[in-house]
Amino acid sequence: MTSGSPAAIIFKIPPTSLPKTIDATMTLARRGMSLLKAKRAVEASMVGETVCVALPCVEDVATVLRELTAAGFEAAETSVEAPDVRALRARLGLTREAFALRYGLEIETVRNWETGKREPDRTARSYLQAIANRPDQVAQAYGFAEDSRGFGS
Amino acid sequence: MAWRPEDLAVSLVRDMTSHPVVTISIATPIGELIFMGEPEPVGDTLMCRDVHVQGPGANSLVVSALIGLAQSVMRELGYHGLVIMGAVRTTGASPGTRPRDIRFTRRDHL
Repeated sequence: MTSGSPAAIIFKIPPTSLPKTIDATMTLARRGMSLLKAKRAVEASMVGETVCVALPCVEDVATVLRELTAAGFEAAETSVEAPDVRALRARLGLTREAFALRYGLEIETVRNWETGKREPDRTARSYLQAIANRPDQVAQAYGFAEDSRGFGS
Repeated sequence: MAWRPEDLAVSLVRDMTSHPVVTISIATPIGELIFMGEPEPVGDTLMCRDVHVQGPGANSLVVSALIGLAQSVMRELGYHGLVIMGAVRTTGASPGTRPRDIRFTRRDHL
């Protein structure tokens, strides 16, 4: 593969799959990953890990996902685009203040993102994406540490 | 039944070989088998680490067939011993476990 754009792909082996690990390794290596790194990534998925890889040169993400699926893997592109914060907040039924409190954000920052005055940086985009994907789990992870003495303790 | 050397054709998959990973294709009576591993010569033995095998179907490679394959590979590459250290199983017996090493010694009378 000689032309294309970088893309981040997340993949794992579903429990009942009979994966073609060599095909999957080839799929990754043909998009600019070193063969050894591609092999190691596939091997990590073989022991049950969900693996995220950065592919330097992807001609078409859908093709990569199709090839990984054909090889028996479950794959998706990891998005680093910022979700629409106002729409996300509306979906969760939270006021701006409640959203900020729940996820440990500054109200002013949330307002700036919503009005377009500021753009979330990459770290914030990833955090917002995690909120969009798993709002309850992120709120729990943010609010309660493993050893916290919360309700009923 | 073990395959005879004349039943097999071993070839290197060049675009999927880059140190330390080597990929070979073996044409067999049941179809193409692809092996990807990290071989390292130790004396006259070839140690192949984290070997992946892909064939026409799960469990397509039985031990008796593997013996014939190993003899062909050793003869082709000039080694007297071959050790296959497999990657974690994804199919067959006990998926999720790492299989035991499989050792072969060259028998030139085959």
